[in-house]
Amino acid sequence: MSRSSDIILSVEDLRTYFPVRSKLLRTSRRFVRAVDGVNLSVRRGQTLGLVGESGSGKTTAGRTILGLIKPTTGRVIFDGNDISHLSRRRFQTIRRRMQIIFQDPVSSLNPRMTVGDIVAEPLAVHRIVPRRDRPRRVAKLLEQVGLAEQYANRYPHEFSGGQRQRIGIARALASEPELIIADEPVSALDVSVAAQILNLLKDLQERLGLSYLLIAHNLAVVEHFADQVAVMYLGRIVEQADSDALYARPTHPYTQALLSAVPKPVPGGGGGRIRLAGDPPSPIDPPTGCPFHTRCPLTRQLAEDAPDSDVHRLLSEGRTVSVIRRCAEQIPQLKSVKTDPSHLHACLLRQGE
Amino acid sequence: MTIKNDTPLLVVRNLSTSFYTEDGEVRAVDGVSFSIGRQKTYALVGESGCGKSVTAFSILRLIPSPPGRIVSGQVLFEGNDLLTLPGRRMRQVRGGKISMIFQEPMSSLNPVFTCGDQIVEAILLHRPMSVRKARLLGIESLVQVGIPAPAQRMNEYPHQLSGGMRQRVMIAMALACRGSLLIADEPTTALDVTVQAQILDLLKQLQQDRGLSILLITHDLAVVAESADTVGVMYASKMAEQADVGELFANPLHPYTQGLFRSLPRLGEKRSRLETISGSVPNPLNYPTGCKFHPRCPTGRTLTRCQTCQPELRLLGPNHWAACWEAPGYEQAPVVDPSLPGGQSSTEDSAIRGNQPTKGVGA
Repeated sequence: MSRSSDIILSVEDLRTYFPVRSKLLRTSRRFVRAVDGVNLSVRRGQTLGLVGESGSGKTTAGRTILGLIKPTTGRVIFDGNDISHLSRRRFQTIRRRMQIIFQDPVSSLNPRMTVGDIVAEPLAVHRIVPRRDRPRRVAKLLEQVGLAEQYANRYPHEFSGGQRQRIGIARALASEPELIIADEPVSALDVSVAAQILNLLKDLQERLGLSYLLIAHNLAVVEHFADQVAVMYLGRIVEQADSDALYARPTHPYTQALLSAVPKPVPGGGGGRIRLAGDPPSPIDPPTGCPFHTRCPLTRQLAEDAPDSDVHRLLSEGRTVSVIRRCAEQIPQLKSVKTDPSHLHACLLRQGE
Repeated sequence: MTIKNDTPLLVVRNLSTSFYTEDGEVRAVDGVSFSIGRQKTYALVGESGCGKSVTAFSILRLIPSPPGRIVSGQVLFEGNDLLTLPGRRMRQVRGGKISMIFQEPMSSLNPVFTCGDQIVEAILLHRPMSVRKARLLGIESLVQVGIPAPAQRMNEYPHQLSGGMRQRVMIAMALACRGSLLIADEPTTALDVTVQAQILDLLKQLQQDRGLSILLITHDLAVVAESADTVGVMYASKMAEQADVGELFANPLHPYTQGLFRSLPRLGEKRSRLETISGSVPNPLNYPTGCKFHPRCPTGRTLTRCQTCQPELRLLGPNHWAACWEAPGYEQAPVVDPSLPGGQSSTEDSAIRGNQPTKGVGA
């Protein structure tokens, strides 16, 4: 691990489980393993992209880091301090330094508050700026996100989606945070507006030295924006690397499939696509062993030539398929790729590569 | 199905739809014309509020009235104008010959009936047969859309299926009724990329096997690039540009289309900043005068003509229409009805046909 001063946030073996209550017995023996042993770190002034499909646990991971959900086990270390088990009051001082931007700019802004009050709220909650100075401060924050000062007296419904997202960003900036968790910040926006918001986030990062944890399902957005990328599948990180390396040389079969599934804006594209069978399994009953083995094209391919003793058979999409036995039994750990120590992947079949 | 037939399956001509609100008339679709060939995919692209979904709803006459009304135009499907068809016959077309699937399949499926009940109901509405037979047909269509254990799925409720499976059920319903046109309104927007890829593959395969024509409505240019044959780009209720997919991506002529392409983050292309289109989509109650794009246009912003006169679509190249005063060759270009198949500027034939009056049809 590099010096702690470079790292603004690190997460160690984070697990967040939600009990599944059975109405009949009022007990919960089963759990949704939304986040199941995640390690990651965000470098100061940089962006870590956390990508995955719906249900992969990326949003839960973000909210657990912010303390909005209590982790089941594991540590969240913010600027050298473990914040995962702080009391509510002591957490308050930390939360001033890390903020969140939500996906949906409609439901994340209170419709009964003026824009000025929305942006001023963190200033009041954290007692940062005296009341009489707040309007001036709000004006400055709005200007920072490209909104006119006089918008402070209007209500959220008077604004377009992109402008509302700007209001959300102004609110997040109010407490002068060091880390911003952006949970799908542009996925609800139109293309031309999304580009404006991404540029704004980038400008703010350069100007204010912000660090971002960017949670997104759009791989193109993440590539454009992030310095490092972690790919999640069923609550676990399956691959993590510098953005350039991950996109140029993905090694985990899931990342490869995910990248090839992204439609390319080139007519006639879409050839050579790796097809994944079926849907991601439920996090209530995750597969044993490697979480991806039930859909993995690589293990199926290798099982064709493997001796019978190494092969495990399972039912997928109503058909029996063969996979490598190891994949169904052992949980792969994140390990370095041989040629690049900062490139980590969790695949039993590609260990040592 | 390999019927060689050059006449398009669907022709939309000069379609205009308005909503009458307390604040005034909102023209959601303004004089839109296009056509869809057999076994072809036509994509309508645009940002939210541009009128692409209202166009689709107008084709099926699903515009809630009041406040909405189809003001003018023709929708020719298999020789009939759907806009003047009696209600009873329109109901046979809707969900029968023309089916529609939506962005969120959960809201189009009834949560208190099993998938099987809903598929059987749809089949019996359009094809008289026994319930038993309809059920078998339903199972068969579930097989065709790649649903494993179809007989079992028939007895399951929509909430028991994943998003991708639900979208497959919707497509199966459309297939079972033997429709020839599928209107797909953002069919993969709510789905994950790997599932989106499955659904796009499925649509492509069904198009080949069943000779389906598809009207694809989407905001995602990448989906368009992969699935469409012809593309119409809509902006603020009007068609800004129309071309074959290869031509549009290689040579976009309208500044709005160019802006859309530039603002798109692409895989394998790292830029420090994305280019943007300045400003935002105008309010439909208060559209700008002249070209509706001029306040956001890098060149048109300052030009008097763009500020005062609304450009119409003109044929600027083979099968390539654009509505922009500043597009190269626009002033000399012929006005050719964009719903005419082919539309090659070189052939005299289409030029003559293009000069036929197409206005003043419909209501």
